[in-house]
Amino acid sequence: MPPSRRRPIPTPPVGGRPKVAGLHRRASTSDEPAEAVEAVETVEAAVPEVAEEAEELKAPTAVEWTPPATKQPKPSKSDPEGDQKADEPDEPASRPAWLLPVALLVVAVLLGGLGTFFLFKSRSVTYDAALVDSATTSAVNGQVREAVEKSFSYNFADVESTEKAARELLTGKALCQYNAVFGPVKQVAPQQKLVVTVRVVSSAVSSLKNGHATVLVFADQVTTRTTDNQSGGGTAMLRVSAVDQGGRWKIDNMEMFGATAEQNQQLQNC
Amino acid sequence: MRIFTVIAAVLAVLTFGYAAYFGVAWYSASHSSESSFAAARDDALRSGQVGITNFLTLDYKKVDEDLQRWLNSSTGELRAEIDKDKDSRKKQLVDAKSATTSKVLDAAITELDDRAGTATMIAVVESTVTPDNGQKVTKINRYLTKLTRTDDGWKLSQLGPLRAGV
Repeated sequence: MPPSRRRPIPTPPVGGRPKVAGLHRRASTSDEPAEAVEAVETVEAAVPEVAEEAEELKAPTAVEWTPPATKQPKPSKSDPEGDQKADEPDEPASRPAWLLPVALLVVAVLLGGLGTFFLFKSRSVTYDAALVDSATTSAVNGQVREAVEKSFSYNFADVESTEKAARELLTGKALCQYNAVFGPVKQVAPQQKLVVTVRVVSSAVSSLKNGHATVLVFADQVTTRTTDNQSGGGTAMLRVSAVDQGGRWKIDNMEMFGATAEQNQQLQNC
Repeated sequence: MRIFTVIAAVLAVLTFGYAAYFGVAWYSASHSSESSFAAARDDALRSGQVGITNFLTLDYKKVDEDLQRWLNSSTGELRAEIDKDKDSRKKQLVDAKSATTSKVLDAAITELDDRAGTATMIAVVESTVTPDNGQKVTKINRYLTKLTRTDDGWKLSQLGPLRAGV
């Protein structure tokens, strides 16, 4: 008996209100939620939206409800959670219990990916230390200058010091290249009593990384034939590679700019 | 079910720490004074190479265009010099009746003052001169240039060949 009394009372207002709502939507919306809540069985967030839609058509209420439903497909993608769902079929009814761990797992996976991305990014931040590490840069620069000047300067009267310098300051491939470039000079030097003076005019470290350096060297060469005091000069541009061998930077490769085809051939054969 | 939540929460916290740690590591590595100095050096080097190429490329048929490009690539002393002798230089280039193209083979910064915005660069340049009616000649020369940072990037403020015996 009590339910039958209650029903007749709400229905007239329900029938009466929509008419008013059709005329003055804004005024009526405040009343509408009561109706909507009854229809959709106590839903929290979507109520205001549902109320607005309900004025025009009742069908949109069903459409409004699809977005919350999309939360359910997500967990179904991750298979491991499927087992848990089977274990406890009671809970999904209200707020699925697996939702929180799954969401946390998804967050963990995303953060893991992001962290790994940052890890690789931070590792890949490497810069060339040329000039940045000023102490090493000037050490490389000075030692390469010295190596070039000492090993390419030549006095017929003191052959030994040039050869000693070359042996000490050059290494690997550069020794072979040195012989290719300087061999012809050495052959004619004693008979012409040659004095070759090499002076580095300017040089700069273009790269300095992991114990390897590249230096651009501009040198002047003055050759004096003491037999008849004839002098000749020339300029040279070299790209020199140097390697750190126990605190001493030794030249391990040389490239000449403006060298003759024959010279380049010899350098490449090394 | 609660155990899964706890495990997932711990995982999420751990991965958050992991991501945060390397995020900070990446940021600090890429914003250190060393890497910004290295970036300034590379910037100056690149601009210097482009500037030298601009200065050593000219065609007597379009001298006005060349002179404008020279002005655009220079600042300070060098720019003032070009601006002053513009007309005589123009006549000289037109009379020479030749076109020159240049390519920087290698270059390096010898000095860099990031705060003052000045740098010195040396470069090996291959230039090909083609006279109006004649055989083209290719030469390799060495240059020293001073660079100054402007609002519009690094520009040449001095440029000259490094001749023998200098």
